[in-house]
Amino acid sequence: MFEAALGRKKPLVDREILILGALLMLMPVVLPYKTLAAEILIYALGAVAFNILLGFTGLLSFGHGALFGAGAYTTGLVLIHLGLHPLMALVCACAMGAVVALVIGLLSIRKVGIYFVMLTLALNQLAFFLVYQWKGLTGGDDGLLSVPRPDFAIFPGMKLPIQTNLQFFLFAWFVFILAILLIRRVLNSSFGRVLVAIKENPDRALAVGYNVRHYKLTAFVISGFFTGLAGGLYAMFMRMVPITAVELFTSSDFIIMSLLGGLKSLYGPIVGAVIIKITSEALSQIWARWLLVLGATFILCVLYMRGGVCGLAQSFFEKRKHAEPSK
Amino acid sequence: MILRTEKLTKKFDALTAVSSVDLRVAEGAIHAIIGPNGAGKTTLFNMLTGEIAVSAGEIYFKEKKITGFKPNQIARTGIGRSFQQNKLFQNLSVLENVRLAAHAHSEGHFNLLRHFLYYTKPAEEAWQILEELDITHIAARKAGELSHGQQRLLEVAIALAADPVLLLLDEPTSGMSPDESLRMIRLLKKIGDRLSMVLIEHNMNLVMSISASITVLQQGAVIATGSPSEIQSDEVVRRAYLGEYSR
Amino acid sequence: MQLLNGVVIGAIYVLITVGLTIVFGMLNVINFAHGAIFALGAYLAYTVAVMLGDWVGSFWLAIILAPLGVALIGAVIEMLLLRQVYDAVHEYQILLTFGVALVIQEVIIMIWGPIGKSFPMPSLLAGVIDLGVFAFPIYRIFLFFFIGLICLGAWLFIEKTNYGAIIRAGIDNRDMVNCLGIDIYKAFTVVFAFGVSLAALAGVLILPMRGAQPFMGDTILTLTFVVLVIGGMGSFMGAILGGLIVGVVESMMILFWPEGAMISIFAAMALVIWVKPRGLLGSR
Repeated sequence: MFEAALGRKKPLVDREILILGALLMLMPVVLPYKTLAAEILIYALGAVAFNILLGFTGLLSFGHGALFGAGAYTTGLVLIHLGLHPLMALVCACAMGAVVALVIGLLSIRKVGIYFVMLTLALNQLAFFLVYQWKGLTGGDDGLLSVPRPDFAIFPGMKLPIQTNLQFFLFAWFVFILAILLIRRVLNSSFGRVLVAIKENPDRALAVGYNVRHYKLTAFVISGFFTGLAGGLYAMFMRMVPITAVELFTSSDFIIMSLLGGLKSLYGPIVGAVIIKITSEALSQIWARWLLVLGATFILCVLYMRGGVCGLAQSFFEKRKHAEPSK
Repeated sequence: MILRTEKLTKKFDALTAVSSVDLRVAEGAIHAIIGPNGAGKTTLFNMLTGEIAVSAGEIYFKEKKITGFKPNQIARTGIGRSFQQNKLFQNLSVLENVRLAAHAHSEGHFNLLRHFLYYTKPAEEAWQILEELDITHIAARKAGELSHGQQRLLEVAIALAADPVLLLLDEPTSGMSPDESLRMIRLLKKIGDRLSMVLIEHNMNLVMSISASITVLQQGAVIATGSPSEIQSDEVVRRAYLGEYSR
Repeated sequence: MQLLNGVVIGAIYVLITVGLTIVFGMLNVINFAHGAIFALGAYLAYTVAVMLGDWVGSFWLAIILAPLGVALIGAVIEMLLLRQVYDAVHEYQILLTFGVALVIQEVIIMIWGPIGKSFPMPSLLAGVIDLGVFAFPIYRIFLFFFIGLICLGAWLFIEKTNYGAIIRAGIDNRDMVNCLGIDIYKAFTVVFAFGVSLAALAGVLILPMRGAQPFMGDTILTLTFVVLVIGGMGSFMGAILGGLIVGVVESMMILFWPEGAMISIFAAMALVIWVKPRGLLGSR
């Protein structure tokens, strides 16, 4: 009885992860462009990182565009000016994402609920303006151009090429899977469970002894770390950093992907990213105003599908389980 | 005195909700706070647990000043609290609700990498509490799906999870059927043997049968303090509050 | 002179923010579509003017028609969509209104095209007044007093009328008021429609000064939030104070450091958060 109520400890790499990895690996085969596959991975990572805050801690942040952009510009700049090893460049992106998240978090977490959301939106806009004005560093409206994508060596003498679309996809795939493993680890840790408690009832979490502010801030920094990583990959992927990376629109991208895919699960945002990216790619070819569909999706999800696609799937399987007697 | 307040006061703009309250709770005692609705009982509790700021006065726990402490700091000193309106983790299981509360006082609650089940102590403590409250049969059910009586029990369970030395319970039997209330009374008597308790209650059966001492509040001020028999025979209290009961 | 400009621009911000504050204070919902509605108001006014052909009197008609039209649209939005999420956590309400904002923005581009529109100054209010030290546009003076009047009217309505009292009661206990036989849901619709019509009015008023662009809603939304943070949520006076501060800071900075205008506004906001997290006059 005790064990049943408690649940089982999940190993680091299990069936779920293997299936996920395999499915994602199919993407370059199934999709029309390999670049789309890589882009999906990047946005999926960003969305999962974002969802640490919304789905697991209950914090709606409109500021993840700033975090994504921070990672992207950092990687771009260190690759251009410092010629760092690509993996180092990504680490820099993570660090910068974490730092910017810390700053935004310190300012925003002072307030609760709506205030927090509004603040993250305002701060994201601030980041946009900063990037826009600081032309010398960021290229402003034109974006940061000519970001190199050097092949890199892990073992001496052996260079790993990441030049072609397929090669870059494989690289991104590795980074993605590693990141997901790490995020999953954090979400299943003691810390992660407290986050869920904070989402369910922050007052009670405080009353039983948790320093809620510390937890929220740490969650923000972790989210920023991985969002920055996604941004860094993006810079290497595009070989440039467009100013749209910092835009509010990127923030809302992550939000809709998480919402559509399913807030309550780690994998939900991944599903959302796949759906959104493929549909927007398809739609934007035939209709310039496809954003309308995106807006409508927001509305429909909130009204009818709060659990997202994964939520629907879950309730579907649960109904079947209860309908059939256990074998 | 395990808990003591000195001239504790709370003002909301022009309204004085709690006025110069001196509370004395002896160690190991069960102390009840009673009074008509709106007397300021829950506001008093909220000040004791740091949920709201104190306008004036001091609070001493084990003779250490805890005035102005935040709720999480209060919890760490060894005070547990249950709420008048259930504040449960609705979508989590009963066991998880209590385990989380227990883990706040154990090591490893901020650990980012170890799986939460690695730490077995909080889960075991939680299970023990569920056993004491006789709700192990619903351990896996979501808190939001419980009956009202079960939810009130869970409220108390969460408060107990911190292994407190002082328990503050706000109307633990509110909304319960007579049977459930009896169960709760027996439970509280049992718990009261090993820790100090302050109860806010409207259930006079409960109050008179288990309290060692009682404080009566009316419109934010103390109008009487004493043992159950003293309170029952106090004229001021009778007029203010126990009118129907004494008939 | 920039100071006066700042006050006038601030008045516009005040008007929009008051609309948002009313909706938040009464319905406990933050309307992320407020900025898009501001833009919609401007564009509707533009259309009214175009349809009438006669530019001169059309401004005055637009001031009435555009907010009314938006009020209707707002009522529909409230009844169909918003009502369903009153019981949900704030995050879902925000997401819903954000979706609505996107839809409105795209519809604007679909109907009026992606390039901005301009609108000539109404002849009655064109020209400048000589104030001795400098000349100041009459239109801006009109704006200031007109908005002041509207705000006064709104405040009176909320604080002094029975209807306002009902709404205030409804926030605390919706079902109770409903049981008393008062249709609280209709009241909510009215309040929402009123709140968004204020934003639309602001859009109409800013039209002769700055024209209309499809993405003006985004910038205004951010500014509105800054005003709320600075002035304090749920406070009428706070909205006024915050709006004026933001307007003045923006206009003054344009004088010294144009590029830094926006950044200064955000810096002011950060300062207020640090020093007074509830905003200067905040109550929640």
